[in-house]
Amino acid sequence: MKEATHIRPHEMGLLQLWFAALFHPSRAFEELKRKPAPQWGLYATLLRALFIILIWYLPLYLLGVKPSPPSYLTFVPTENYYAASMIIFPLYNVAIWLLFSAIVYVILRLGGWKSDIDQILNIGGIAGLVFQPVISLFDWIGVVLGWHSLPVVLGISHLCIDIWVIVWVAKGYNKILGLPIWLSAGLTLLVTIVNVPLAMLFLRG
Amino acid sequence: MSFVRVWLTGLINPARSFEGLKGKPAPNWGFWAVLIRFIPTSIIVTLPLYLLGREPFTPSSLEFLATRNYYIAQLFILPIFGVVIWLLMSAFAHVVLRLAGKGSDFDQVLNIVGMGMLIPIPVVWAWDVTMIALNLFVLPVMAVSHSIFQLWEASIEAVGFIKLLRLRVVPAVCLALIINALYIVLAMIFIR
Repeated sequence: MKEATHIRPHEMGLLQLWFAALFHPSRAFEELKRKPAPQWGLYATLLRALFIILIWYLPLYLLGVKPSPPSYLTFVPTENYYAASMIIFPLYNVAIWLLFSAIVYVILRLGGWKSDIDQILNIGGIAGLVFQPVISLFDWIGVVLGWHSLPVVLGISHLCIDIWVIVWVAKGYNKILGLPIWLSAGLTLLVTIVNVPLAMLFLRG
Repeated sequence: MSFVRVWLTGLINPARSFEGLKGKPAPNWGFWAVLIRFIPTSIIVTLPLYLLGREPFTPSSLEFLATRNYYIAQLFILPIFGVVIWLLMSAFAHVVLRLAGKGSDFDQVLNIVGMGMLIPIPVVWAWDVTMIALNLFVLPVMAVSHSIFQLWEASIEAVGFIKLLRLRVVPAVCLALIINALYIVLAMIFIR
């Protein structure tokens, strides 16, 4: 009798995972569960930083654009903010990736739930990378059409994408960590809110 | 060992203290340790400085916060900073360990870093209050003394990494120094 052949499922690369995350989140989470953690989260976080520098901060710096509102940090002058952002952003991006993952983890543990920091780091890192091209596309359309100086339009477009990200990450916690969806959504909403003052302090759009 | 016993034992014998920390609720003890360090520090050190009308040695790094109002704002900033830096230092240590292929237990890392922050603090409180009382709360004295305290904290955390995570001495010391450098950089921005 012929021996049954064990067929290994096709392993997705980062690019495939990226597309799956946008169009077939459930498949992406199944795949992400098997990826090395927290390595994929870190690579995604670093890639996101590189992407934003190349597509956003570097062009704005080369175009001589000045950020608005002015710098809140006394040691970074407003006129040099986009140049400085090429150093600040990667550090900020890694820091919030670590911080938000740790916040989610500690809340879960203090609440008596099981948790896995490595998976949380992977979900957070991939979420940041997956949605960045969408956000950057909106931002550049805003610059070209002159919306970028209209905070309401910019705010609404970012809010819509943020809601998409919150739903995506909540589903990730639900699928990978087995958390109830209300808890997953609550945690994701919480870190999104925590991000607002930190981003206002350190980042300029 | 009770929480207070683990804390006070750490002042003279960190290795025994971390033996006592094994098996204790994690990350709960780390979380309580951080709150016990930073909330009373606000009250014991920052509040007297504000009431005495003192201004920080170095100007505010935040445009929206005037140097003369820094200490009153710091009463509220310090506990938040404490929790954030605890999470950040712990997560950083965990990721470094995982990338280096070492085993890591994030609950234990949170407990080690939290207790490492708490253990030396009674001495720091006594020192700061004495310096304020003697009118010696001046930049050179505080810069030197707090650098020593920071190294003490790093060495306690290194002992924790050795005892609870079974790291060798050199990686444990390097990791503790790196996460404390992270603390110093962020404290330079937010804490006066």
